[in-house]
Parts: sequence; structure tokens; C-alpha cells
Amino acid sequence: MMEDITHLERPIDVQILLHKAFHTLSLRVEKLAADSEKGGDLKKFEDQFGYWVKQLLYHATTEDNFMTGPLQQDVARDNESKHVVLVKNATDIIEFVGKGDSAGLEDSVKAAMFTLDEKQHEDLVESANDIQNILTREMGQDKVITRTRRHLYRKVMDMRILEFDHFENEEVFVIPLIREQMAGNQELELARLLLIDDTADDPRWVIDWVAKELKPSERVLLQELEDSFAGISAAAD
Amino acid sequence: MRLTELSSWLMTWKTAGTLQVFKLAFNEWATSLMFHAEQEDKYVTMPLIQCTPSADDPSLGLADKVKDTMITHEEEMHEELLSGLEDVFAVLNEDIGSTSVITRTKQHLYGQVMTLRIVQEDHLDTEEALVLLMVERCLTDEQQLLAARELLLDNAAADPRWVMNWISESLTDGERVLLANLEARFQALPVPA
Repeated sequence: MMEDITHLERPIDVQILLHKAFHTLSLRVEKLAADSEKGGDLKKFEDQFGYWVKQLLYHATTEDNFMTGPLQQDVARDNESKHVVLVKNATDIIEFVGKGDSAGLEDSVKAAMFTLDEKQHEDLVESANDIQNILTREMGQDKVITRTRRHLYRKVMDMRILEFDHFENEEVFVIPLIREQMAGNQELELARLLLIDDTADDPRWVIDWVAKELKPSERVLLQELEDSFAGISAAAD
Repeated sequence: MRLTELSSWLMTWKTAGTLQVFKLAFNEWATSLMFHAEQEDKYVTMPLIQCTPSADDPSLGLADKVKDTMITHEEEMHEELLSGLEDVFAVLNEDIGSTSVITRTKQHLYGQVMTLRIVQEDHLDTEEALVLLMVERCLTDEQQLLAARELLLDNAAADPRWVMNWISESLTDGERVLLANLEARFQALPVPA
């Protein structure tokens, strides 16, 4: 549980509000994955996971283009490469869910096949579908589904922990560089871009979500920051 | 404290001092798992491998090949579990000592414990679905009883009944009677070396 945020010293501190919103959303998705082990369909998980990935993609792309993009330090490139890893994790989870109920069994069969020599391995790989059918029959459909849901949970948990680590690194290594190197108005514009998607039909889809995930006192800080965005166009004029 | 409780407790623990509670519970679980894996390799998996034909035996059908492969993989799953235990011990003993725990370490400990839980459940599922059937087919009643005794009684320990007692804590009254009946049958076996 993250601590209450009581003030924003600089516009880039919007990241602390954003990271808190991501913490809340990703833990909620992880809980849905954990609950899915008990059975039921994955509709709610898939909806929330998709929403998490959508937010993460916008956030990472905006950071790459407008926050770390202008920086020359290696730490900026490291930050961008962590985004690639996070997106790869998300893609793997989407593929895993797409494989259906026996995806977890497929993982286990693949692991077991590593113990075989090349010829045996080739023989069994050719019969992959038959193998899964045999094992499903032996183990029972319920156990196969439970195994898949367990593996899904593990993947989501790994992604959430990776995200937490990434945000923590960003707060320690990247944000101080932004404070040092960005001009005030540029920093305010970056904060605006992280919250307002100018290319979307509803440009407020990020800021509205962040507000929902925060406490009332933190929402006040977000509103005050948004109010200060008016100064950007005034300065540009 | 069981593994699932350990992991959910990890998510909520607030102060460094209570890490000792986690360490004690984790030690108990790890000791039980290590003993179980060692005895199972020796008294269940080894006799099964000797009894079943090799996976490249041309006379085997696909179903038997798959089962043989999964059974052979059981030993590797034990190794994966033991390696996971060592990873957690490394964090507990080296990275954080006994006084302070940062949030990131807590998260990683949680991840490692949950991963262990998942590997353990996969392993137990496979064992119940595939290995136990092979045990019934390959091992005589006396061999099965011997394996059961070696899984439940640790003759090298000061208290040989520590596994039985630990298991009993999780059982219903009816299940405890079944366990006691099984233990009574051990009397018919030769005295352990």
C-alpha cells in the first residue's frame, strides 16, 4: 500500500500520482487473476487487464517520446528498455489467455519435453495435440483449467512486480534528471501530456482514470495541477 | 502456517520485526518439503523408473510415452522446488538480515513464495493424476507400504513422528483415523535400517 500523497513540489511529481493509480489498478487485476483460480469465466479479468495494458501503453509511449527521449543519459535508455520488457510480458499474457483452458498444461508438457533427447522430443512434438488430449483425459478438465489459471496468475503477478520495480527505479533515477534538465514550462507540458491525450476522442481518458484511483485529498492536488496547465498556452502566447 | 497463508500474510505485513514469524513458518514448510522430495525420489520415483520402460522403447504407445516423460520430469520438479526454496532463504539470510525489510524485497519475497506455491501445486496435480496410477501398477503392496512409512516417519530425526504430526494438523478427525490405521500397518514391515 502506497502512502498518502500530500503535496506536489513540481509538475513532474504527477508521476507519483500516476504510479499510485497504476499500483491500484495492477493489484486489482492481479486479484482478479488470483480469484480466477477458483473457477468462473475470465471476462472481468480480460476487461481489466486490457484496460491496464491500454493505460500502460499510453504512459510508456508518452514517457519515451517526451520524458526520456530528450535525455542523453544511459538511464533514459534503460527506462525505455524496461517499457519493452513490460509490453512483452503483456503480450505473452494475451497470447496465453488466447490459447484457452489448456495453456497451463502446454507449459508443463514443454518443460517435461526438455528432459527428452532430440529424437524423442521430435516424435512427441509432432503429436502435441494428442498429448494434451491424453493428459487432459488422465488429469480431468477441472485440474487442467485450474493449472492454466495458476499459471495465468503467476504471469500477471510477475508483470505487476516488474511494473512496481520499474516505477521505483524511475522515481529514483529518472525523475531527478527531469527536475535538473527540463525548463519549468517544458516540465508542465510533459505533465499535461501524461494526463491528457490530445489525439483521443476523449482527451481526458487518462486523467479521469487517475482521479478515480486516488483519494479525495490527492484528487485536489491533481485538480490544482490541471488548473496550472492553463498557464502553458498563456506562456506560449 | 501453510504456503497460501504465508504468501497472503507477506502481502500485508507491516513491520520488520514480524519477519521472524515468516521465517519460522517458511522454515517449517521448507523442511517438510525437502524431506518429502528426498524420500519420494528414493522410495517412489526410483522404483518407478526401474519398473517402466524407457520413453524411446518402440513398443510403447504415445500415451505411455507421455506418462513416462512426465514421471521422469517429477525429479526435475523437485529440483525446481528446492532451488526456489534456496532463493527465498538467500533473500531471508543475506539480503535483508533480520532487522529491516524494504518494500521491494517484500514484493520479491511474495513473488518467490507464490511461484513456489504454483510449482508445488503443479507437481502435486501431476503426481496424483499420473504417478500414483503407476505406483499402483509397479509397486507391490509391501513396497507401497514401505514408501508410505518412509514418507511419514523420519527415522533419522530426534522426533521421528514430526511429519505425521505436521500432516495431522491439516486433517479432519476422520482423516486422522485413516492416517492412524495406515501407521498401524507399518508394524508388519521389517524394522527400518
